[in-house]
Amino acid sequence: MLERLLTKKYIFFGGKGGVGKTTVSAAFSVLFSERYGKNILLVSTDPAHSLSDIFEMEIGSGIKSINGKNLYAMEIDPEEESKKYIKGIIKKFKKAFSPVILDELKRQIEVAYNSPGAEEAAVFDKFVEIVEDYSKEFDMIIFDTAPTGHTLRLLSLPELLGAWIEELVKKRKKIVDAISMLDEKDSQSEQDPILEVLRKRKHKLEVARDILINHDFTSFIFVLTAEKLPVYETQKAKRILESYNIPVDGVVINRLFPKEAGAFFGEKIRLQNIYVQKIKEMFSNKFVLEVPFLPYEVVGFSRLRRLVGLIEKEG
Amino acid sequence: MMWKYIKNILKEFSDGAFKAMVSEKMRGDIYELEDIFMLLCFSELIGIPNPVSYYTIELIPLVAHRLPSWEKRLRDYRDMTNKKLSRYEFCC
Repeated sequence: MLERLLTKKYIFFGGKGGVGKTTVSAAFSVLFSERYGKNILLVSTDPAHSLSDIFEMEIGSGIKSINGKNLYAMEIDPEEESKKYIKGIIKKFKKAFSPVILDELKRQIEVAYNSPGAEEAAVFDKFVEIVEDYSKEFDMIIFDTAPTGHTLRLLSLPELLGAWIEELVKKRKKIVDAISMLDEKDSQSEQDPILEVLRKRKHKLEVARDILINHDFTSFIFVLTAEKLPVYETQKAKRILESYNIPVDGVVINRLFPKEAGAFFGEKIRLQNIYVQKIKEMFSNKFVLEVPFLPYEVVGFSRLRRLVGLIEKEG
Repeated sequence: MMWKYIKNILKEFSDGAFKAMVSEKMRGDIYELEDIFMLLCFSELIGIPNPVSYYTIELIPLVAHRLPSWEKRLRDYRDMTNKKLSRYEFCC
């Protein structure tokens, strides 16, 4: 199973909140970088980051070396990204406008900036940027994603927004054509600045979509615990991702109680086995990795390595 | 010479009688198309949710000259219907 993952370029770990996505993605990053000598970039797209906590070091929004060699990490900060985006726009046009218009612009931007979806779009833009900028430098980019809802929205953005932008392009093209007909000039549609901006955006969305649905490069792995809510949420999420053609390759069942847990956990283990069975049916032709419940918290490098050892044995 | 003169008069007549009318109508249509385009881009500004509003921020500087009047037109819908009717010149 590990061999199958090793051929991928982009691996996403997702799942319900609190099931151990960060722990599992950190462990896989350590595994691939230390045991297989790959250059790994681990990226957190969750606005509530915990990579810093798990590696016990300040990580932040820039690329940071974790082990001083081939493992790097970063935490996307949506607020910082959207600020950068807006600043870029204002800077680009500052010279062309009077202060009065600029004030008006700032008001408009404020409204759009605070609209629902802005945060996801900011994270998404950064995701595209990372993929474009770092794909050559790193053998593999691992994404520790936000809880399911967030991530589903994020991954469906290219599909949803792509259609909308496409419509905007068509509408704008109609206007530009009509204008050039009226002025009896040659078709100027290629020079319309609005059309240009829209087409650039459309292209970016297409690049992202092509990566997300590429079964050779991309893999989405669910992390869950053998309990009712995570299992059902994963089932729904899996269906949605597959409807968007995003390759779902497997599942990591985290925190499984061992048989020797004792009488107190007897009933728990019985239920757990039922859910494990259900998960295995859901992911029948995909890989299923079982990770036991550990008597210690997986924080810090040495403990991550112990978890890596367990994953290696299972995989 | 005479022909040219007559042709010129005919051309001017047709321009005045038809072309001006047609282009006036086209200008109106374009104006309307542009308003619809603006609505698809910036509906968030008048309270209608829009999934691409984050990305259309980068269009704002390009349409800034049009934004205030567009917002006003939408807010004052009666004004818009009047304007539409006035194009057909049977309304005061």
